[in-house]
Amino acid sequence: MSVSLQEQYDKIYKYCYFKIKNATLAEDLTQETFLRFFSQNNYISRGTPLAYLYTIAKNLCIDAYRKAIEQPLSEDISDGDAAINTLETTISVKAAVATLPQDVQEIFLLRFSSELSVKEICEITGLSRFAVRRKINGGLEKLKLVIREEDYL
Amino acid sequence: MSKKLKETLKTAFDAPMPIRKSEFLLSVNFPKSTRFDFLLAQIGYIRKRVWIVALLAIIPALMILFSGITENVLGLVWVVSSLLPFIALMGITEIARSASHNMAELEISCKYSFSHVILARLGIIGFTNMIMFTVVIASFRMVGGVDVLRLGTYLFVPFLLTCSLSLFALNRLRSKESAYICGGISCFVSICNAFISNQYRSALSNEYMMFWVIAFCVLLIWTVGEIIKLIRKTEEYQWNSSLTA
Repeated sequence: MSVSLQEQYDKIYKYCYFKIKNATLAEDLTQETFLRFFSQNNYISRGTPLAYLYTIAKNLCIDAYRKAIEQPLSEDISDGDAAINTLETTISVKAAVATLPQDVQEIFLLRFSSELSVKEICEITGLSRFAVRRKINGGLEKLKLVIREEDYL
Repeated sequence: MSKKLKETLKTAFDAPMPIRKSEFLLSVNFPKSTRFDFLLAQIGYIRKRVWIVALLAIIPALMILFSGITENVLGLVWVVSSLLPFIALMGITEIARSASHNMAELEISCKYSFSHVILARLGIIGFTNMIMFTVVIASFRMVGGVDVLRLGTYLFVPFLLTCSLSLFALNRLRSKESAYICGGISCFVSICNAFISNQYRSALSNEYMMFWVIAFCVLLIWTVGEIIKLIRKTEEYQWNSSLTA
């Protein structure tokens, strides 16, 4: 895996947090993901290692979700120096994304936050390329209806 | 989709800062890449045009050789030897690309030093060039029964002359236009070689064989010396980079 470990740690952590909404548990699962990934090093040098990493994380989250108590999402958006306009845009986009179906939100996270390719998203979610693109485009269309035009143009 | 929306979507999934990240990353035991993995990775960084130019230079000559269009096999030698400087040009400019574009940050961020990277790429390009030479010499031997030693020196001399002159220029000129200078050197060597081979056919005879052998030895030593200087210069880039960081 030629990408930065630190960067991937943050992305996997965000993914786990998105899935289970618990910061401590998300970090535990992130670390467990990496430990399991590195123990199977034959996957590192072939195929798409990033997709495999996210698949491990997804399976761990599914197992943990069944046991973990869901905590409310903390709206920790107070970044003191953020410009008001940027803050309002982020809030409205976050709220708009929250209205999307869970599977679409997950694809948005993988595509725009983790910056994975469509191929990698297909391997993680088990969907076809067409289905992934359809969900992305559908989600964007829905966002455009929810967010005011001046917020995203 | 607007750039602003794309950027905002990136932050839409923000999470609380992880607490145990540094501690975990310092302690985790992850598999390290081997030197062979590093070598293979360098192949991907060498631009495709290096291989394409080599093939474009050699394949037509081999096709003419095997087609039997000309019976004078030795007469084709000057064609191939005049094309070889351009193959040397592609290799030299590829190696110099990292140095001339100030890629010293490679050494800072990677496990392997910048000089290792340069050496690896030199090794890969040199190895593929050797394979190419072997194929050409074997083909000429097969078709025309040309003496291997004689043919090898005819082909290697212009190639090594281009390499040594280009590396000489690169090691002394710290300029982003060094690629153009190497191009000029390649053209000059190619044209001179074609002229000499064509106008003075006796230059390829056994009478002047000793000259070719001496030239080969001198140019080989000069080329190796310039390569060593280039590798040493990469350490200088690191020092300069650390002073200006």
